[in-house]
Amino acid sequence: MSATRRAGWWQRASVGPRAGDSWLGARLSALRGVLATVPRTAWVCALLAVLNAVCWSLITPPFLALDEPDHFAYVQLLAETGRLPSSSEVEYSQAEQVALADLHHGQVRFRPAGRPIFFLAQQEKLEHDLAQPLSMVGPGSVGVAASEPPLYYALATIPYAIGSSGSILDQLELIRLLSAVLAGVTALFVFLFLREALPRVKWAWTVGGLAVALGPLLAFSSSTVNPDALLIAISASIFYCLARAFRHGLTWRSAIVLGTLVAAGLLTKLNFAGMAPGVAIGLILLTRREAKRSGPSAYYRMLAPALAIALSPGVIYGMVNILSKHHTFGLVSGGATALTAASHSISGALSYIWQFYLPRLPWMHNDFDGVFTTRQIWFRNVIGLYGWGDTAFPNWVYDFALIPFLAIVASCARALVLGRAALRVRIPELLTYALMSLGLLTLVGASGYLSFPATAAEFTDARYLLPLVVLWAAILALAARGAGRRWGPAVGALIVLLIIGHDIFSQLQVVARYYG
Amino acid sequence: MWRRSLAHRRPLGAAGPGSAFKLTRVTGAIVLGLLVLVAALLLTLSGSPLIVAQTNGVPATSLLAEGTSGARACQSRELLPAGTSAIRLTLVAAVGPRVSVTVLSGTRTLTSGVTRSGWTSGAVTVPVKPFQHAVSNVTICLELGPAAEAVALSGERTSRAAAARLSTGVPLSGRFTVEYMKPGYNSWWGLESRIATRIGFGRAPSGSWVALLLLLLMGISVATAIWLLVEDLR
Repeated sequence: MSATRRAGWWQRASVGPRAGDSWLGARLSALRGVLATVPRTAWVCALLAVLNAVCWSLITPPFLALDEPDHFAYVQLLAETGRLPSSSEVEYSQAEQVALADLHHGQVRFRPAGRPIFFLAQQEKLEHDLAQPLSMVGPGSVGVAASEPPLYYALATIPYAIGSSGSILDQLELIRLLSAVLAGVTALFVFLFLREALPRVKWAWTVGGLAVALGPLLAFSSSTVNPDALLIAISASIFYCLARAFRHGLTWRSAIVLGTLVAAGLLTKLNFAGMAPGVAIGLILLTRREAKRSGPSAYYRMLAPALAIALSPGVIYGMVNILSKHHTFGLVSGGATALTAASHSISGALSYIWQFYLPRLPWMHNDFDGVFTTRQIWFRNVIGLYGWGDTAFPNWVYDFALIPFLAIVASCARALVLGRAALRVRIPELLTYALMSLGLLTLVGASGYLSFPATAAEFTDARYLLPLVVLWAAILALAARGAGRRWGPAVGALIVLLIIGHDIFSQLQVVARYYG
Repeated sequence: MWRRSLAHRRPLGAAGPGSAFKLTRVTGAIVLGLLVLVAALLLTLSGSPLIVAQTNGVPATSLLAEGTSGARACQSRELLPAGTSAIRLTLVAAVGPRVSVTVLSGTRTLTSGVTRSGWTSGAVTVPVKPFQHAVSNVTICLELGPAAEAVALSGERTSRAAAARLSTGVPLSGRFTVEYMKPGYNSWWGLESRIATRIGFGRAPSGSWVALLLLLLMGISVATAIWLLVEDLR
């Protein structure tokens, strides 16, 4: 391409669409302009996150990730019939049942001694059986996935349709690739969040972005058929939008984007309902600041449409339920009713939720006898618990991991203490992040309380914390900065290498579990 | 202007507090980190995976009991294989309690071990002090620590005479499943082709090339990450 032609192309992109260009052309041009402002490093982080998740999708055998058969059944039902699930019983389509049986799913899931198929004859039987004219339509009973909103599953019908000429396993792998791409979106927004939230030190963005992209937890969670992949990506993008708005000010457009993202989050997974109030308070704080500058009209120009868009899925869902004579908010209403059941109470719930994450306070009833939940559930699960919760490291690994973890926390604390003056002016922003985190943690804890005391802790998967992954990236970036100006980059490099090691050994653990 | 340009072009390693010093520290940290990582990988892959030396032949088909804090059950007529370094029991819990296992010959303790609370899923592996000789007719006892929830013990229904017993002497409804584990004969290196073959089964696309693709993608990822660190952190 000649220099003149190249210059012409650049000129067109920068001046925008010509008169007569279509609306779509104008939008594409604007999008191209926005994408051009994203730094190269952010794209590389996104690419690495996708590659890492693809690796995890290759080592995790089909359906051997938590609840994957249920989530796949949801996608299949939606793609084949256009219907939403009708029951949380488990009854899959004939094709899925055959695949699960031939893959020895029941003998492998939850059973560390169980192994997937190993022999050519088993593979040939699997291929032969899946080539038969099997029904792809189940009765609508998709297990735990039944209560989830449909956005992720609707997206997943696209790769499902693309793979329709192959077997059910081809379709599963293609949906897994969609999840892997969403891991890339997450890493991209993590990097952009760090750029807005910690603007002074550029190299720290790379540390945080790479640490998230190459971390095993995000890769595992985003390598299977699971709506968490989309929820995590949406949450990361909301954190980015909030950080940008707190730094540069709220505009009408950013308010609408935030409202849309909240609506998308609510349409993706019920857990997002925990974060939504925090986002709403963030929007109110931002509008209040904007109103001081431009007058009270900011409330109806920005806040009102953003909240209207954000709440629209909940309002529509409630209206549909009322019209069909169900609980107003479906399972959420059922949960609220369950809290008032004989064995449950609000004070009991608060005590349980506290102990779900933190050591028991003296006046609390002991709900986790013999278990230090902070370390033995959450720290353990964050460091490594894969498959159907049946693939863990030896205990000494979790002990050893405490050393770098505590060093990271200490270094991050040092950075925060040194930068406390800058923190004071950002209290509204920090309050917003804190409320979003608190809301999510409370919702997950409350979900666990509903099945207590029959089960001590039902919802302890570390992936439930991943919507807060941007804050973990900020902790890592701050930890590197906490080492000081001279040693910071070197410590940042060591943190990234530590994460790479964590990822490689986690993959080896899964390989040993299923193929060793 | 001219002087500033010269200063900007200071060669790597030259004295001064500029980027050269940071570059040295960053590359040093990367080299150090990679060396540690490679050493840890070599050490791990030179070891042997734990394999099931023997089971007691009892399938986990029935729920025998649900235990809470302090529950203890013993099962006689077991065979402890030589070299056993861990014992796996079919216990089911969302958040499991501490589990201790003792292997007795008469009243003499042959070996014992404990695993801490917080385990999850459908089995728990308790590391025990390796016992070098096979011993027949041993009794295996398991005991639960403080438990946040009931723990299910699985096995197979048998006659009362053959069944495991609670600490009170009351027989359970059958015998529980026990797997005796020890380090395998081959290191991970010796298993690489078998693992590559196995990764290629039961998926789409299938074939042992999947393992090669995995290695290639991970290699590209690590190399790209290191390149980015060197580029951005100097």
